[in-house]
Amino acid sequence: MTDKEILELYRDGQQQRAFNEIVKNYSERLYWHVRSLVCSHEDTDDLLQDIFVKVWTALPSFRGEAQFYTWLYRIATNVALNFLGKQKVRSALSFESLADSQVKKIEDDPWFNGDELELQLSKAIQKLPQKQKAVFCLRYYQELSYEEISEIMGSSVGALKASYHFAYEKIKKELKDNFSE
Amino acid sequence: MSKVSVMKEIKNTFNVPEGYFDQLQKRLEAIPSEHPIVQAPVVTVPFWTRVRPYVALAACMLMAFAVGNFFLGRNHTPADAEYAYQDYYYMADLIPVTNPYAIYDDAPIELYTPESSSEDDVVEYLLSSGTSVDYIAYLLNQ
Repeated sequence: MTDKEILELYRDGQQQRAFNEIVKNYSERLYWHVRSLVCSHEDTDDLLQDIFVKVWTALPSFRGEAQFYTWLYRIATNVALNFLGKQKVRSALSFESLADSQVKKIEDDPWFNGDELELQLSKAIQKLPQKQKAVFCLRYYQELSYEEISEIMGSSVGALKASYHFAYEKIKKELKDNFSE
Repeated sequence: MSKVSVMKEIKNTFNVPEGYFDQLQKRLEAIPSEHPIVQAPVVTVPFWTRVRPYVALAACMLMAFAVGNFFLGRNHTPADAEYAYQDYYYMADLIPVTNPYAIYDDAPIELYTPESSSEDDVVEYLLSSGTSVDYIAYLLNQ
């Protein structure tokens, strides 16, 4: 079912069915997007619940100014970034950087199945500033266009290109440093 | 194979427990029953309730204006009047005039205009200035 059909279903009064279709179409995609940002499966699972509660309660106010899937990604990205912000505060209180705690999570993650290079790439992504991380994940993992990311992040395409470029350069340097050791 | 699944195959380095997404989907589908959307009741606000803040604001401004006007208007002392009088003369001095009395005093301007001379005065003046009697007689006959 397309986004348009889902929204028509919702407006026709079949809210529950429309919501089930949204879950069917997007739960997996949003799971991977959030997972790429927060790493931990358990955290992603909790956040996904929050995200879909927000989607359900905000659906009546969706007026169709943005594309439906970018609206969903925006909610998911905001929830994930808020979570990382809170994690950052907690890490600061325990005298540990957020990047270090995220890297530790990847190393201890029983659900990580990548090789050494992929492990280093995931670690390098976790060391990026939050906005760069979000832009990089949306572009690299979700393969969204800059225009779509612009709708999600509310930034200009130029700023996003610059963010992606900086993220790419940082990751390249990180990987070079790790593999030249 | 869809674009998303190819992308995941290449780039996804994370894994999930067996059957996780089916279980997740069921859990998420229960959200509407757990979080029913409560429609906010439609409340009609009476006209007076809507305009009351604006009326109050206008009344406050009017009151401030009236009070300000009352105090500013009342604070004129005799000294203020004296300063105003001096200012008037100061300004009058700056204006080039041929007859300053016309400015300084309220008397009619005719009082300061010299009286016109009589014929006798003119004759007397001409005689005293050495003009010949013939020429004076010639002038008077013209």
